Amino acid sequence: MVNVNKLGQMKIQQTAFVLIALTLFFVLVGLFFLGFYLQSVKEDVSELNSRQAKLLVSKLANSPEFTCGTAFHSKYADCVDSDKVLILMQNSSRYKNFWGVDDIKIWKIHPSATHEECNVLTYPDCTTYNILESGTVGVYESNFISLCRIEQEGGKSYTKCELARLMVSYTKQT
Amino acid sequence: MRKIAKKGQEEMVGFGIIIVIVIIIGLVFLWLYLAIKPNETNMQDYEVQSFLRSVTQYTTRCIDREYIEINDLTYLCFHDQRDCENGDSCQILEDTLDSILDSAWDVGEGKRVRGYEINITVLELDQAFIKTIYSRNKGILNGSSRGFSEKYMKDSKWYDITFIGYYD
Repeated sequence: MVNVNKLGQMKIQQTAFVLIALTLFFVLVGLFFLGFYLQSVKEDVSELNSRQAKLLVSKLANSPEFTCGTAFHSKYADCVDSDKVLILMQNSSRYKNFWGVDDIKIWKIHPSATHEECNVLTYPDCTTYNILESGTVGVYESNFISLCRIEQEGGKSYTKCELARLMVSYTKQT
Repeated sequence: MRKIAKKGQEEMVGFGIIIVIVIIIGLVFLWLYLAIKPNETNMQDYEVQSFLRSVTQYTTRCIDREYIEINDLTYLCFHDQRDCENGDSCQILEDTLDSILDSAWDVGEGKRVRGYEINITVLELDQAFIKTIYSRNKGILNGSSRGFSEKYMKDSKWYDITFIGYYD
């Protein structure tokens, strides 16, 4: 009778140990996964910001604030009207939270004779258009665009398109 | 003896069931992890596309024809029309594209873009090859490639500009 009781106790103890071990194992696995998941949340925020910037940069050139549109007979794709950009720069404070990114810049790649910042005085012989500036150091996503304007020579007007990069920056989560 | 053997079998079955449960739970975690990972949007395709579009719209100088776009310059070059102020049309096309490519793409080992190749060809309406007007490659031409082709038709000929970028 004593032996049977002891065997039963042993069995119960065995089961209890297995259950505790199993519970501990699953808790550890759960904690590992949770830690891993929480660690990746910050990376996901950065990834989402990056995706938003990438999508924005691919669409921005064709948005009404930038596009050449009907002024250039809707002839060009990925075309930014530099005259519009110059006006937009003067009203950039109104657009501060409009696009949800930190900075928007246009950098003229070719031809680029000078490295001057564009403003009413230097336009059009300049290189960089700082449309939106937050002052924060961010990560840039960029895309190629045609930077076009109407020029005049010898009493005749023509369209002049140059090669530029439209750059959008966002803050990376650390 | 038989009792001990049966007990051993029971323990083995229990152990097997636990392993199966652990594997199933592991798979569920793995599936959850993969399901919540956002899909990558490939923007490199768009970069190559926008580059080609912007290049074909680029305005260059050719005095007799005044300011013309690269698109029109390829047409002049194919028809061997040497009526530009500063050299023949093919030379201006080559100089302009060489200069644009050098400014736009910083390529090489360890860079984001390892290399590129660009070809401008003229094709018949049935896509039969006629002539290569411009061809250039630079850097390392292997790795993950992204290509795009911009085509336009003029005087019953296709003008095809193809650009392939090799990314790291």
